[in-house]
Amino acid sequence: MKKLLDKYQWDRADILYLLVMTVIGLAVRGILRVVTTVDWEMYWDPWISDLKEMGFSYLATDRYDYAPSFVYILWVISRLPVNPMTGYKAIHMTLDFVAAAVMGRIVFETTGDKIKSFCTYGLMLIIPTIWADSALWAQCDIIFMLFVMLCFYYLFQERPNRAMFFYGLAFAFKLQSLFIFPFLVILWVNKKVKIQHFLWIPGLYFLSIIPAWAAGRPLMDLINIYMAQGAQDVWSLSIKWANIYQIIGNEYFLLEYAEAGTWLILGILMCILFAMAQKRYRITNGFIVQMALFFAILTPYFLPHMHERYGCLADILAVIYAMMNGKRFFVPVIQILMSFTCYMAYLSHLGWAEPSIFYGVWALAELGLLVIAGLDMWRYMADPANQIPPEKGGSKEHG
Amino acid sequence: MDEWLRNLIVKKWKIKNLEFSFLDALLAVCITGTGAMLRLAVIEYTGITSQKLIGVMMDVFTAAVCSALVYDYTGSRNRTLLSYGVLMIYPTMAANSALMGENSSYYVFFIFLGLYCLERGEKWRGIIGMAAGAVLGAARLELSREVLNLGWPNLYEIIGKKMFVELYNQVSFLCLLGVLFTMVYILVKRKTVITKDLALQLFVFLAILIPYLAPSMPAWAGLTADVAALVYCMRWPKKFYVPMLHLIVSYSAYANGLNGETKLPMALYAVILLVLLLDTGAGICREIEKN
Repeated sequence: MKKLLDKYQWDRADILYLLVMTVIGLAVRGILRVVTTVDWEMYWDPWISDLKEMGFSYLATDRYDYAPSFVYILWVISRLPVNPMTGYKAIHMTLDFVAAAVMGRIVFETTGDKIKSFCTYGLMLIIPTIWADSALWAQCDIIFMLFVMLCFYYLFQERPNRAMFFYGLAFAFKLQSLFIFPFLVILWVNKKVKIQHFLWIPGLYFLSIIPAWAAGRPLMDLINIYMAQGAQDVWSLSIKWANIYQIIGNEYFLLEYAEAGTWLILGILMCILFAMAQKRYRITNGFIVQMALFFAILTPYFLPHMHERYGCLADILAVIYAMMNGKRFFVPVIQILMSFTCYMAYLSHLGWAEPSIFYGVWALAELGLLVIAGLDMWRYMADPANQIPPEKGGSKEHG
Repeated sequence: MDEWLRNLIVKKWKIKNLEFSFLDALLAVCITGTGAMLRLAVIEYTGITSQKLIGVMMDVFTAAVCSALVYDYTGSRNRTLLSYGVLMIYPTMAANSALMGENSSYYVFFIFLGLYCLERGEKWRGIIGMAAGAVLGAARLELSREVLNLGWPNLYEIIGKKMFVELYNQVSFLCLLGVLFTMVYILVKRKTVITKDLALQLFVFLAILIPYLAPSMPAWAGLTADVAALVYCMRWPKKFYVPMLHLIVSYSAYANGLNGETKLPMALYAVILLVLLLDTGAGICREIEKN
C-alpha cells in the first residue's frame, strides 16, 4: 500500500477523500435509483420490452429515434437477468464515476495541481445535473460527455487521432456533441488536428449504424436519424432551456424562427470562426477548455428546440474552467444552478408554467456567462504574447 | 456648564482594567433599555412564558458575547459598543425571541460563546460551546416530508420545493457533507493556517451555506448568519452590505411566516443569499492566498 501511495505521490488524506466522496456519490445515486420518470415509462422501458421480445430484429423497426449505438446498449440490458431500470441506471451511474475520474485527470493535465484534480473528482460526483441525469431521470447524456472528456484528455496528451476517435464516438451517441465542434476547427487551423482525423466522425457513425442496417432498417433512415430526432418536440422554440427564445418569446413564429434560428447560429459561428482563424495562437490546454466552454454555451443559446439537459456539457466544462481560473469560481455555480433549475422544471411537471425564477431571467444570466467566457477568450487572443506568426504554426504549451 | 457637560461625556473612567467614557456607559444603558422596550412592544403577540423571558435575556447575553468577540477582533471600543447596541435592536433577534417566541437565541448564544472561546485559544471550551449550540439548534429542527423548505429562502425556492421531498431530504444532506468534506480536504492539504480572520470568514460562510443547502429549514434558520454577518462587518467595514442584505432576507422570511406573504418573491431572496455566499467564499479564497 505504501509503495503504491509513494508511486503516485498520494497520501492517506487523498485516499480518505476519494473514498468518502465515492461513498457519498454512491449513496446519492443509490437513493435516487428508485425514481421512475416519464421518459423511462414512455421510451426506454417499452423499447427494452420490445428488444426482449423481438431481439435484435427490433433494430429493423422505426420505433426508436435515438442513435443505434444507444439502442445496442438497451439490447444488452434486455439480455441481462436484472430489472431493466436497475441495469440501465447502473450502467450510467458507473459511467458517472468513470467520467469523474477522467475529469480529475483532465484538471491535473491542465493545472498540474493534484488537490484540484481530486476535488474535481469529488465535486463531479455531487454535481446535481450529473446525478440527476443518470440516477434520477434515467437519461444517457453521460455517455457522450464521457467520450467528449476523453477527447479533451487525449488532446492534452497531444494525441489528436485518439482524441478525434473519442469525439467520433461521442457523435455516434449524441448529436449534442456538435455544440462544441467549432473549437475543433480552430484546433485544425492551428495545426493541432489534421483534416483526416475528422473522418472519425462520419466513419464511426457509419460503423455504428451497420448492425441496425444489417438488421433491416433502411440506410437512409439511419443516416437521417438525428434529423428525424430534431423534427420532433417542435412545439416550442425552447423546451425549458434558458436561451434567447425565453427572452424574445418561445411560442410564436414556431416554424419561421425554427428555421431562421438555425441559420442565425450558423451565421454567428461562421463570423466567430472567421475572426478566430485570422491569426495563430499558442494553443494551451486552458485555451482549449475556454473555447469549448464558450461554444457549449453559445450554440444552444441560439439553436431552437433546445431541451432542459442541453447545458450539461457546459456544466462540466465550467467546472474545469473554474479549476483553471479560480477567479471564475462563480461560473459553474450559476451554470449548474440554471441547468438544474431547467431539469427540475421538467421533473416537477411544470409544463408551460415558469419556474420561480423565470426562464427569461436565467437566459440573461446565461448571456452574462457567455459574455464572460467570450471576453476571456478574446483577451487571450488579443494578448500579443499568445500570438504567433502563421507560418511558424502552433505549438502546444501547457497552462 | 456646557463645557462641563462636554467634558463629562468624553471623560474616561476606569474600574479595574475596564476603561470607558460616560458616553459609552450612556449608550450601553440606553440601548439596553431601548432593546427591552422594543421587545415589550411585541412580546404579547404569542403570549408570555418563562422560556420566552429567558430567550429575551439570552439576546442580551448574545449581544454581550458578540461585542466581546468584536473587541477581540478589532480592539476598537467604539465598534464593540456599536455591536452591542446594534444587536440589542437587531430586528431578527428581537422578533425571534419576543414576537415569535422561537427562542433561537438559546443556541445562537452557545454557538457564539464557543466561537469566542476558540478565538481566545480556549479550544475545548470553544468546541463544547459550539457543540452545545449545534445540538440545541438541531433539536429544534423537524424534517418535513411534504416540502423541502419551511420558510427559509434557500436553494429549494429556486429549483422547486415540492418534488422528490423524501429523496432530496437525504441527497441534499449527502451533497452538503460532500461540499464540507471537500472544504476540509483543501484546507488540510494546502496546510492552511487558520488565522483569526480566516476563522471568522469560514464561520460566516458556513452559517450561510448550511441552511442554504439543508432541507426543512425554518424561517429563523438564518439567525446565526445574521449575527455573524454583523461581527464580519465590524471586522471589515467595507462588507457592510453583508449584514444589511442578510438581515433583509432574514426578516422577510419572518414576515412571510407571520403574514403569509412577502412583498418580493422568495426566490429573489434565495438569489441574494447565493450572491452573499459567493462573495464571502471569494473572501475566503483571497484570505488563503494572502497567507
